[in-house]
Amino acid sequence: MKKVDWKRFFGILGLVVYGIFVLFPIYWTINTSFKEVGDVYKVPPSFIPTKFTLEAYKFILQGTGRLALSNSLVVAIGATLIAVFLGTMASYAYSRYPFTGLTNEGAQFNLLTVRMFPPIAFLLPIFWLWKTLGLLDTHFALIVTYSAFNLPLAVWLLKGFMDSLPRSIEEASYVDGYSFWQTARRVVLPLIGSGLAATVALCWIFIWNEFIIAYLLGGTDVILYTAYLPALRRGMRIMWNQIAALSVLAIIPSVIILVLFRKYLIKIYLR
Amino acid sequence: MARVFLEKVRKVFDNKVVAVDGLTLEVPDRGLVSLLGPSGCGKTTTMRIIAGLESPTSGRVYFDGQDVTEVPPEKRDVAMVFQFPVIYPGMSVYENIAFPLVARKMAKEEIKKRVEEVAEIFEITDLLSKRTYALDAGMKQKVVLARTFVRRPKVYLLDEPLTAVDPKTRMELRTILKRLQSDLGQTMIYVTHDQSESLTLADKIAVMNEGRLLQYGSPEEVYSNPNNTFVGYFVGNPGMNFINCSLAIENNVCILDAQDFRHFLPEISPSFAREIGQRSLIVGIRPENVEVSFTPRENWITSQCILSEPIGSRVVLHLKVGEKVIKAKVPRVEVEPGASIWFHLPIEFLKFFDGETQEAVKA
Ligand SMILES: Nc1ncnc2c1ncn2[C@@H]1O[C@H](COP(=O)(O)OP(=O)(O)OP(=O)(O)O)[C@@H](O)[C@H]1O
Ligand SMILES: [Mg+2]
Repeated sequence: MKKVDWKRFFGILGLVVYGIFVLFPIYWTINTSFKEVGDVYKVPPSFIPTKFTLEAYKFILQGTGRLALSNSLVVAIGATLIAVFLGTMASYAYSRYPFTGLTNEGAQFNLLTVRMFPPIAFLLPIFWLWKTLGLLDTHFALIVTYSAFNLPLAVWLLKGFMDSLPRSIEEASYVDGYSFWQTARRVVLPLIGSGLAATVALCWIFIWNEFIIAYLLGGTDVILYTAYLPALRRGMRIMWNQIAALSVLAIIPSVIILVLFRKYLIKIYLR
Repeated sequence: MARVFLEKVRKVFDNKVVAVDGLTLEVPDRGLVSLLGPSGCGKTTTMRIIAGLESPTSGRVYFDGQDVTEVPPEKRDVAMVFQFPVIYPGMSVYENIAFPLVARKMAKEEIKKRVEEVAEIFEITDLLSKRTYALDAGMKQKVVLARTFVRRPKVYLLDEPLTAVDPKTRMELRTILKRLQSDLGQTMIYVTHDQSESLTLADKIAVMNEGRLLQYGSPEEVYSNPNNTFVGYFVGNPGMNFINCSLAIENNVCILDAQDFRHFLPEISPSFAREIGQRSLIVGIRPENVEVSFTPRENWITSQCILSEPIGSRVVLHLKVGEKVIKAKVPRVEVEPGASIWFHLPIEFLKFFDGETQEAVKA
């Protein structure tokens, strides 16, 4: 009789259980999104739609749903780019230059304190700030707020990559005839490329899935999809099929980014 | 090509570490000057100041009479080999070597031609298309040197270019560098802490210690007329013998009194001896200039051989007289430890140094 490799057996069993645990909600969301709303409330629930319909998708893509998704795209892309751009510059400074009156660790710690409080603690003052400026419910306010909240994360992640880059490489490039900015573009950026990709992916996920800021600072003129989800009800009835359809659509950009950047994301964990 | 002139350059790190202390040095156009000194004496710092990577705390740097102290490195037109070789990761060997030419917006064909030429010289033509991470230290250093010599800058700065490689590659590269220097006839500053490298390669040697320039001259000068005991000790393999002594005069003949032995110096005039002999002295002599005999000789000093240490085709005998040990470098011989040996210090090779200041006493 062949000897059973128990270690391998339980390893695979564990992964299967974990896979079901992770994938089932996604499967259930997709399943729900193709049902009629009456079908959703049926007991026992059916594992495939009894009547396959694109009703929910039609509703989302024709109405406010499409607007919410495109608002979310604009805000998330804008805020991610700004956070990563400023984060790149700031992390270089953190990595290379001493701070006056403050250790580098101290300066970095200050930056991270923003992320130690629950966002709701900051949001009321920020709400009043934008309201006073008359910018509440604008793309601008949302983009600025999101980039500010994610900048510490970007700096923190990118600084690690900057630190691992020996300074002598830049010095060699200066001596070889490249200015500071040329060196940044031709030597430094290509070498922290994977760090940039990973940072983009993580910032994107945080911004794209965020609810409270979207709900408080937006919601009327500029509604993001996360703020629109709870609005999907008719009278007392929650339109689960429409919520599921919007969720399925909302997963798509994140999936694309994660698939494209997954090999860089792994590097963060391996570091 | 350029003449490099450092004027009273001083560099202090963090307000306390004096890395370079009032260094004034002129490197002639097309000259090969070697900076020689022990670890931490400020050689690398000096090179970085010339390259513009470090700005001096005080003092000026001139290229061809032009003050370049404030000019950033990318505008100085120097090529530098760093002490720890820098390869641009993520670029192929070809791209690495071509990198400085690309900065100068040279035409593609011209770049290709030059890269291939220099790759030929360093025998790395078959590596050109390779990635760099798999290269060993010797290969990496060849790539770095190729990237340096692919262009014709005002000055080449080589910071211990052969320290990081294995002995075989070192010999190979030393030959190539020597040939390149004589073919190109370019200004070159070569840092090393290996005195034999200095003596074989350089036109002029600048010996440094603790941030200061101790002596600057041709290899012969530095070797045979050290300015002070440090230079005598540092240059040569092994370095000079130093013996604390005083000069005495007996019967109008000058005698070197080293306590453990006395040595007649009839050639030294008593008046000179009177002049310098009042203070404590150090006499120095190179091991290769100590004469030895295996049979007794009149007026030679008797000693015991405690160690014989082969160096290349020669052997260094450690000769014990009383408390003192004198080294003598002689052609290969078999010597039993403990054997009696007679030695003699020829007057023409004796150098006198002041016991206090360690500076040479000029006759
Ligand atoms: N960036 C720095 N900050 C503080 N001290 C420094 C710095 N660079 C060099 N030093 C100090 O300056 C002195 C001279 O250093 P340098 O690297 O020039 O010596 P070196 O002659 O090149 O030595 P080696 O043979 O070990 O390379 C040393 O004491 C060193 O510790
Ligand atoms: Mg050094």
